[in-house]
Amino acid sequence: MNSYVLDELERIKKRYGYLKEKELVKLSKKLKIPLIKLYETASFYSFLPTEPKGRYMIRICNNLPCMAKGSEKILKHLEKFLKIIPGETTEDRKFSLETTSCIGCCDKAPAMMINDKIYTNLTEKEAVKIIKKLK
Amino acid sequence: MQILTKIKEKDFESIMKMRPNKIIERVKESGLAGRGGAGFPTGMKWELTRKAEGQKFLICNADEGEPGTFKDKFIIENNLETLLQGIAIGSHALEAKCLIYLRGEYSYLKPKIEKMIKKMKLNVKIVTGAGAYICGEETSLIESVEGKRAVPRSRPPYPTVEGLWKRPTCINNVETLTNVPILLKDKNWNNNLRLFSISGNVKKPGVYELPLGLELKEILSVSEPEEIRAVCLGYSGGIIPFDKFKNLKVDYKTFSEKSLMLGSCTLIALNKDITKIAKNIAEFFVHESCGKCLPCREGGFKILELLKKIENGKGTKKDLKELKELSEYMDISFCALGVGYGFSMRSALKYFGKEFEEKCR
Repeated sequence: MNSYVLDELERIKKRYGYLKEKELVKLSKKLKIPLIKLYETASFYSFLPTEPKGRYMIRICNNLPCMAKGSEKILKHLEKFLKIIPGETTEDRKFSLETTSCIGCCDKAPAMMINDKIYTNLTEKEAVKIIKKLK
Repeated sequence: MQILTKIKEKDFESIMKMRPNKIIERVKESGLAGRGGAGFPTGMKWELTRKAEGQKFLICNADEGEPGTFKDKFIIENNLETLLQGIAIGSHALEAKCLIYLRGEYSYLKPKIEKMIKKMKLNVKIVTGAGAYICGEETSLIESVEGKRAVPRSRPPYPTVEGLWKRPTCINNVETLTNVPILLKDKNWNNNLRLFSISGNVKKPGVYELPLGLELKEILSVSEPEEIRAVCLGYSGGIIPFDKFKNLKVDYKTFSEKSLMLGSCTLIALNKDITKIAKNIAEFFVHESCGKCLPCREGGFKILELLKKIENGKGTKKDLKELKELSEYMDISFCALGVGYGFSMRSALKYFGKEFEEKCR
């Protein structure tokens, strides 16, 4: 029986926010796939972090349709508000910030994702308001 | 919109009772070709898969990653039932097991799709991607479903012969499959209509269904563009100056004659500086390159470095020359990702050469 490794990795990520080594070891035994192979796969994908991340993963689209509608300003504003830059996590491990390739919301740009949720037609104020609500 | 057509339940049932060969014949006759960008004849792909030996797979490619493209999401949100009917018909015609490869960015649509699959009593598995543009490429997508790094495979063997788990595999785009039930039941089905994703500096961005053959300015006018300088045909189809090309006929033949690619009909209208646009595109490709081949991995990286320098006003004539050379070399990349990257850069340098030169000492 062929297994769907991405499904399994996604399940672990959903539970822990990242791919915890202990869980990958278990998965490796369950699927009879060497641990290194699981890391090999995971390290390829933007959405499968192998290091702990913030409880809320904020991803701001930085492609041209969003850029045309001011995504750069929003990113700058969030950097200032959270005091981190893309790739970093706040000290309290609540928020991680990243830029992302197009998320297909170009008709409601600028847009961002927080975990699996989409937020569109953002303004600087709106973006901070959304994040404050999560605090 | 034609793409929002819903066929009657009993018509769907009657299609599902048709002989597989008859269905494939009808799809071939219709002239339907892949709407994901590559434009391979759908009926022929079905026939090739069906003729191959072993358990077949049909994968619906919902990994819509081309920046500025959101038509497949539009279909999933607005006519999911017809899409799933298309998958069911394909599965019947090919005697195939079905999967949907849904991009990770669209994972919030998964519950809705699962619910509809259940309601329609279909057997379709959804595999969610995890944020990798290259998975839109057929063989990378297969690698990804198999749980590996999404690195493209050599072809041949083609997926229709040896695809997912070495089985014959047919991969069709969302828009392609949604058209199948419609073309089988609607005598007036029009193969000339396309879904245009229009975004950027326009007042009314969105998905518009329009016929091929209109002028670029006619198409963009529906979205009420602001003052725009450049139009990006996605990230891989080329960057063109709007003024020079506003009367360009938008169809596949005219585009290929002009060395442009219409792909999945993506138009990003922009009023930004060309070096900024080019740098943004380069950043995207460097991030999304899988690292398999040298031209894309190293050449792509070097192009970005040069563009950063030029955008900052520190570029020299020598840098510009090197940028031109490198964008030529990208053509020998292993897959369409690197080729598209080079293609985009070359069109920028060709049509906006003056602006680049002005920025370089």
